[in-house]
Amino acid sequence: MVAKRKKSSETRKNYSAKKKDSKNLGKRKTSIKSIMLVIICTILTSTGQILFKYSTSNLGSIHSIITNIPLLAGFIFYGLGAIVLILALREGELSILYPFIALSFVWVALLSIQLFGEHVSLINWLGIVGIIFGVSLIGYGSGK
Amino acid sequence: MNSDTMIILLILIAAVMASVGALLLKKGSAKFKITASINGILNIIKNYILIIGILMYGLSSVFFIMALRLGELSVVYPLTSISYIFVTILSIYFLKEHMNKYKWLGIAFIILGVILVKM
Repeated sequence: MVAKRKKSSETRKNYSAKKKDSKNLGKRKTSIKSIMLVIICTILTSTGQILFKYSTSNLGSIHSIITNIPLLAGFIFYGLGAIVLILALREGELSILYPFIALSFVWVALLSIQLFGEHVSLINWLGIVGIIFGVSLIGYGSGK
Repeated sequence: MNSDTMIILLILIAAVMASVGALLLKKGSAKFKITASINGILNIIKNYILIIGILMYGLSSVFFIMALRLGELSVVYPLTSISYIFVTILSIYFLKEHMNKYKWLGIAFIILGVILVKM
């Protein structure tokens, strides 16, 4: 009985300590460094995506997959992106950092204009602005 | 199965794998260090949560490529943005992260942006 009461008071103490901790942690639980790393990750993965896009036209047999250099290069860029993502996730909240991956849509759109001469309509530009605004809101929200 | 159902199924698999993969990457990232030593590399290999996370994250892109071959970009990309919602739910339940109105609004704008950017 005493042990039980002791335990419950301990958990209560732990709880209040935790509460205090999260207050003392300050407003920002996700460092700017982590956010910068995710942005670097998106640049790497969007380069990978451009390579994937370039490679999907000639996929067929296993042989054509192995000799498909853009596809393999795409996987390497994706791999590098994953390493940078892991480094970013070490210090920060997943719910803050993961949405930043949407920036890769912005890079892919900009790269597609440059490399494939893709047409970008006003609505597409609104989408780019929307993603940047959304990501900014999440960055702002991380300090709230 | 018609190709529309197939595309949605492939994207759902890709999104779930990417989201769970991201959660495992987050869980496993705490012990991750870049290293050239054999011990360090062994530690990365023995970090099963991280390895499974990497595999799931990588496999999700295979399903994504399959979906890309079947469907149009303007359909495939907006559908994959469901992973932002999956990751948020996983972060709340498994990482005890807190959401606020700015974060939810940010996700809404991102999904809207992804729909518009591929229109």
